[in-house]
This record gives sequence, C-alpha cells and structure tokens, in this order.
Amino acid sequence: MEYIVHISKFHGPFELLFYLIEANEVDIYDIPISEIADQYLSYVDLLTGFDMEITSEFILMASTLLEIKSKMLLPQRENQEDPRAFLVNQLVEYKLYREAASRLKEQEALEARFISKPAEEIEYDGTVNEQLLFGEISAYDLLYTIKKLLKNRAIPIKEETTYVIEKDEYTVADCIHLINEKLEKLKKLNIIEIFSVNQSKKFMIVVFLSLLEMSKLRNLKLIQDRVFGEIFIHKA
Amino acid sequence: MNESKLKSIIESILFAWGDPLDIREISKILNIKDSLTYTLLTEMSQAYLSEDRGLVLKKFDDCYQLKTKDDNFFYVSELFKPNTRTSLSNAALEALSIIAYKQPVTKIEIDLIRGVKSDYIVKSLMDRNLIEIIGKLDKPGRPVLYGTTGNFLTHFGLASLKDLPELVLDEEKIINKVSGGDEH
Repeated sequence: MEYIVHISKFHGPFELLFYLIEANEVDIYDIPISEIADQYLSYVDLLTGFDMEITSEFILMASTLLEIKSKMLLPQRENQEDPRAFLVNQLVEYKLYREAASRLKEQEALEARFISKPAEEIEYDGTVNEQLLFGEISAYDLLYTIKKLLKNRAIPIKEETTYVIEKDEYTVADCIHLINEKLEKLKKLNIIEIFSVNQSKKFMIVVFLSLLEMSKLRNLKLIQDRVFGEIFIHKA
Repeated sequence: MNESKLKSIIESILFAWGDPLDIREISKILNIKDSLTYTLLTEMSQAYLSEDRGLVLKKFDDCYQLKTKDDNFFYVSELFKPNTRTSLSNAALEALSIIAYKQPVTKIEIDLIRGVKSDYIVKSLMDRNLIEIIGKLDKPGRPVLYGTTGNFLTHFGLASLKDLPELVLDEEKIINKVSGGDEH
C-alpha cells in the first residue's frame, strides 16, 4: 500500500527537520545526522515530484545535511568545532520563535474571550441652531473634511480617468481652403488678417498649422521684411 | 467635578467609543491632568473586577478599552454567529513572533530564521494590520523594517510589548537533552 505524506504541511525545511527530530525522539544538540539526513532525503524525494518552487529551500537543507554528514565521517581534529554547530544554532533559534508563536496562539485564544464593540458612528441632533452651525463653516471646511474622509478610506477612490474628446471645430483642410480663397482675391495678405477671422484659440492653432502645411507644400510664400516685422503671405 | 462624576463620564466615553482610546484624549475631554485620568482609570479597572460587573477595562500601551468579561464569553457568544474569519496559521504566527520579538526587523532576517521566504505571510500580516513598516535600514538597498502595530497588542491582549511572553525554550526538554546527551 502506498503511504502518502502530506508534505505541504511543512512550511519550510526547519519545520520538516523538527518534525523528524521530534518523531525520532533525538536530542537537538546531538542529532544523529546520518539517520536524519537519510529520512530527510526520502521526504525531499517525495516532494520533488510536486512543487519545484518550494523544494529549492528543502534541497538546500538536504545538501547542508549531506555536507555535515560527510564532515562527521572524517577523523575529527582536536578543538575542531562540531560540524553540526551552525545548523544546531539555526535550529535552536527557529525553535525559540516557534515556541513563542505557540504561546502567542494561546494568548490570542484567551484574548478572543474578551469581546469589544466597534466604535459607534454616533449622530446627535445638530439641527437646533442651523444658522449658527453653518455660519462658521466655509466651503473650505467642507473641502478639508471630505479630503480627510477620502484619505482615511482604506481603498482610495479611483479618480475619473475618462473624458470626452470633442470633434475638431476647425480642420486644417477647411482652413487651407479659406486661406486659398482669400489669396485668390488679394495676392498679398497680412498674416494678422487671417488670424483675426476668429479669436478662438483652437482656430488660431489650426490656422498656424495650415500655414505651415501650405508653406511646406510650397502653395504660398511667407515674407517678412525685417526682424519682428509683420509677416505677409504671397501666393506661390 | 468630583471623582465619581468623572469616572461616570469616562465610562460613558469608553462605552460610546468602543475602540481603544488614548488616555490623553480622555484628559483633554475632561480637562484634567493625565495623572488624574490614570488614577481614575486604575481605580475603575479594579472596580470592574467585582463579580457583579460584566465588563473589564483593558489597557494597551496608553490606550484603554472596555470589553466584556472573559468569564462570560460562553453566554455572550450565544448571541453571535461562529467566527468565519480564519485564524492565523502557524506559519504566520511564527513570522509574527519573530517580528514582535526582534523588531525592527527586515524580511531577510525573518526568512533566515524560518528557512523559507516569508513575502506572502508578511503581506497578509500587513493586511490584517498586525504589523507595519516602521522605517528603512540604513544599509545598501535600504530594506524596509517591520514592527508590530497597536492592533497587535489589542489582538493578543498585551498591555505593552514588554508583556510579550518571555522568549525561552521549553526548559524541561532542554534539561533532559543536556543530561541525556552522549557522545557519538
């Protein structure tokens, strides 16, 4: 019969190692490395088929165990540190917090028996003297309050990111047509005259683009007789 | 105002507020010194111990909160639906205790002690408002430092971080190991 171990219940190599140490009832300060390493490896073998992400940490521990095991086999020099010392220190530190965690868990269960109630959103009748109430509140106070409220919200409100793109009132094509019409009548035209047809900013931008376009296509010439002087349009 | 009246007001405030309330806030409302507020609160929490009272006054750091008496939990819980919120996993508790005892602590230190990456767990502890980022380490990479929150104290019923259970190994087991240890 196949024996399935639910390895996923071990959150990390130390937890698995601890399980083995406890199951074998061995001394944490004098771990029989050979036995534990073999058992550890057989668990890791099982694991390899399942989840490579987790196993990298387990494999690191496996190689550490094997390294210690091989060092233990070599004749020990005097005053040499026990090859297991580093691992044991790590294990002891881990165990320290593991036990702290279980005490915290008990503490949590005890505290859960005290029940508190959430803060009330208390409202009282504030309409008694509305005149006075609003007399001292400016729009800025309201703005400040709503900003504070929004800031305190756990989930920030998504700002409105959509807006309507309006259709262009004037197109470059229309404008070129307009300039051409004017040029038909007058051979020479002050640039100001065209801009003054419509004072809107959009119109001015389109006129400017049209002039550039026409100049590029050599449909007209732009003439300025002195620096900062007026610019005239000539038909090409 | 006499002390009885002050105590009565404090009780009303704490009941209405529900959450832990800072002692300075109470002093400000009553326009009295913190030391007097402290004395009153201490007397009140003594009085709550009386058998005919159903509330207890709990202290977390400088905050006080009214809670129902734990002895009455069985009866109070009759009113409630069972808690569907999952309790903290052992792995999360491990990471949390490392942070609680070693704070300020970086994620790397937590990973090293646990032997596994703790990213996900640290995030879930942050989501539950049990830990928070309390600064950055002045070392290359400026890793963030984690510490516990006020909510952590409330959750575990600790008056302050000093009241964390002592960080010791199970003595009995150690003694066994030391005396029973033999050379291989």
